Amino acid sequence: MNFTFDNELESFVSTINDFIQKDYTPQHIRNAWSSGDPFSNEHWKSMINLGVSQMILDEKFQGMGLSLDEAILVYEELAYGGVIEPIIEQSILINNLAHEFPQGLQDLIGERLIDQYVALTHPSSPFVNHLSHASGLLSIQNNDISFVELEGIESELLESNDPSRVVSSIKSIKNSHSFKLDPSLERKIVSSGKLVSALTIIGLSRRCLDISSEYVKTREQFGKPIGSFQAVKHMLSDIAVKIEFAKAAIYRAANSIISDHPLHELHSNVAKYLANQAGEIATKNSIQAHGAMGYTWEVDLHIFMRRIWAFNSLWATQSEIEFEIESFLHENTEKLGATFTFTED
Amino acid sequence: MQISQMKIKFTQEQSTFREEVRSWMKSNVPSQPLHSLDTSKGFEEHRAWEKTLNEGNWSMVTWPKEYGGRGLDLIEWLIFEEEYYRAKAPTRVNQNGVFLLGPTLMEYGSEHQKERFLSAMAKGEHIWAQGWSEPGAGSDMAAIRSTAIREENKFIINGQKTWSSRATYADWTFGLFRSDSESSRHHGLSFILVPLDAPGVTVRPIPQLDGEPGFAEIFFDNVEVPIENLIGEEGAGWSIAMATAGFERGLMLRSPARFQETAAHLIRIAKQESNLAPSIKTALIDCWIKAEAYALNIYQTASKLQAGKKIGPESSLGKIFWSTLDYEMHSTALKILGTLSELKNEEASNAAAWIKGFMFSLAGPIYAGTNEIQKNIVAERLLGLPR
Ligand SMILES: Cc1cc2nc3c(=O)[nH]c(=O)nc-3n(C[C@H](O)[C@H](O)[C@H](O)COP(=O)(O)OP(=O)(O)OC[C@H]3O[C@@H](n4cnc5c(N)ncnc54)[C@H](O)[C@@H]3O)c2cc1C
Repeated sequence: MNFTFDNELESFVSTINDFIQKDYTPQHIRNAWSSGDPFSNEHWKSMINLGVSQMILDEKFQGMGLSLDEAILVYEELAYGGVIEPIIEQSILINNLAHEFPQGLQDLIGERLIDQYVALTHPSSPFVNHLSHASGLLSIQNNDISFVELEGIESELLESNDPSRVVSSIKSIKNSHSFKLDPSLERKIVSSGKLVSALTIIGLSRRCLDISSEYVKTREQFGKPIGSFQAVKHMLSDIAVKIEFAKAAIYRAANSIISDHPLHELHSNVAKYLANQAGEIATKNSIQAHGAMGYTWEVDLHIFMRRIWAFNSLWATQSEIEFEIESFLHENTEKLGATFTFTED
Repeated sequence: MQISQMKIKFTQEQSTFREEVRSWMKSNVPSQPLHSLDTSKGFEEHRAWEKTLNEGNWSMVTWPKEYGGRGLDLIEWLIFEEEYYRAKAPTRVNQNGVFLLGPTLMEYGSEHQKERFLSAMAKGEHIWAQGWSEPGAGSDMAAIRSTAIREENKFIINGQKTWSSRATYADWTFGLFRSDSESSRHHGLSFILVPLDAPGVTVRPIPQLDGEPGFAEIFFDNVEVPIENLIGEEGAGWSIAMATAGFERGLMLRSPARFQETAAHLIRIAKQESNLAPSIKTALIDCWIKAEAYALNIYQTASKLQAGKKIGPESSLGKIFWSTLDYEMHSTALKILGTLSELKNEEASNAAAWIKGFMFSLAGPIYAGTNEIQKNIVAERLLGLPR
């Protein structure tokens, strides 16, 4: 039992943090939004060059083959930055699992994974993000996984409440290459999706908390910083508690996915449930701590809140999570208790 | 399968250790529950249980062998706790001793003090009470007024402590006293051990919400205590007490096993009911997930500590989390039990234990530093908000 991270990754995480502080400021995000097409090829390349998407890609595709649970803090940091380009999704949903895809599919897309964006759609995450920048689309439906080049896709552009997301719905697909999808792999993909959303929400919740902590230190009323008022302190402490107690569950879910734990679905549901709670309190209390400022487009807070709201229902809605956990608890009541958490079957 | 350093599973040795604890518990945990530890009869039964535990070297597995421990690590302690709660073993009457004073002595005590107190503690010969609070010093512990004035080789203690858990029947208390009568706030306080049978000590039991005297007031009237009972430097008591409180708020006070068992039990009683309101179903899921979250967090914290990292004000996050969860679980249980939840007699139903637990869960947000104070600590020390 060793629930800690490899120390060597600390420097990688701080590299990512530098990148975010320097090249991925809220002003950059705002500029990207107003450019009409927020996906920046330049940022995508920078992140590829940093090794973000190769990191957990199997060596057979020229990746580094690190394990996801080790690398997870890197992705959390990118989430913290509110990165627009879907590199966390690409890495965790596709690159991390590509070596388990059907061989024919590996042959088709293997070379693209190192530096290109491959989009993905699944019934629980139906809208495709930044489709125009994808080199192709993986579509999962009815136990099939198909790959289609951009030319074969007819789609409709929608408008997301999060301007960082440019989402489309797929109308029809032509000339796709279809493969049977092993149900156990599909379950892993769905768990990975829940992990992506949980992790993204936690990174963003941390960002909201940091922005709010800074704000309440400087904004003064009644002749002192509002952060000295206890009602304000407690609002922010409540966020910190929720974030703290979601983290380990998220890292655990990552570990379960890569180690084929038979309960990875449960673990990713737990992670997403806790992250959703953190996200809810992080957004609500952050706005409150900002007063009317929090209700504006001008303050950066909303850049990050919008993403939390968008990710809330991706890959599993609150109802799905609760129903799945409820039925698990109902069917496994006798197994529960102090020795359940780390059982391996 | 990828190779990673993070290993969220037990090693063979850890599993073997678990088997050893399990089989010992199976043959040693009393088949009938003991009387309440806050009755004189029950207190002695619990003391005897501490002795039994010690005979198996189970008092505190992380302690060095020479003091009755096994020199094991925190993960093994967590495993021990899981098996302890799984076996429904009795409440640790010497919690204040083995989990709080023990680690404090290990860090700040002299060799002589360790020898004198640690194994007596492990054997249950000395059951400890905790003496921080005073009538005028609750959340504001630095307002302590009880004094311990040095006279040659002894301290003369005067004043009053209150809310001292287990003090009604305990043998000793550790506490903070003002050793410099000119001092104020957290300066000039000393950490001193006082036998509760010393001349001049009067203990007045205070009945708690369940009617039993789980805590007490302690009056000191010119109580003489030898200088050997001072822990650390004279006047350095505050920082030692903060370390002790850190052990309390951190992992030691509430290992996850307790909440995981309560959550499982809650789900079992719910399963017997066919008609549960949706709000109760939601609460069940919420409670179970939070008990999991707590366990995962504590294992991660233990791994970090083991890797040489320190925990500071983060422990306040945990205290807020478990005490909120404990209340939520018990209040949900009473809703499920319905009209039975009024009944206190154990024969009538298993509701009695839930009622008792419910009342105690209301104390969780108060003791070990109230949750409001913990939230202040989080805001000021973790988030850097102004005082
Ligand atoms: C079951 C139980 C066992 C206990 N065991 C022990 C023991 O063994 N030894 C021991 O020394 N003590 C013990 N205590 C005492 C406990 O530590 C104190 O009750 C606690 O520190 C609060 O102090 P108080 O009761 O004086 O409440 P007060 O300090 O009077 O607080 C009352 C209310 O005001 C709030 N408040 C106070 N100050 C602030 C502030 N600055 N900001 C925001 N809110 C504030 C508190 O949060 C609380 O809600 C025990 C208490 C209980 C309930």
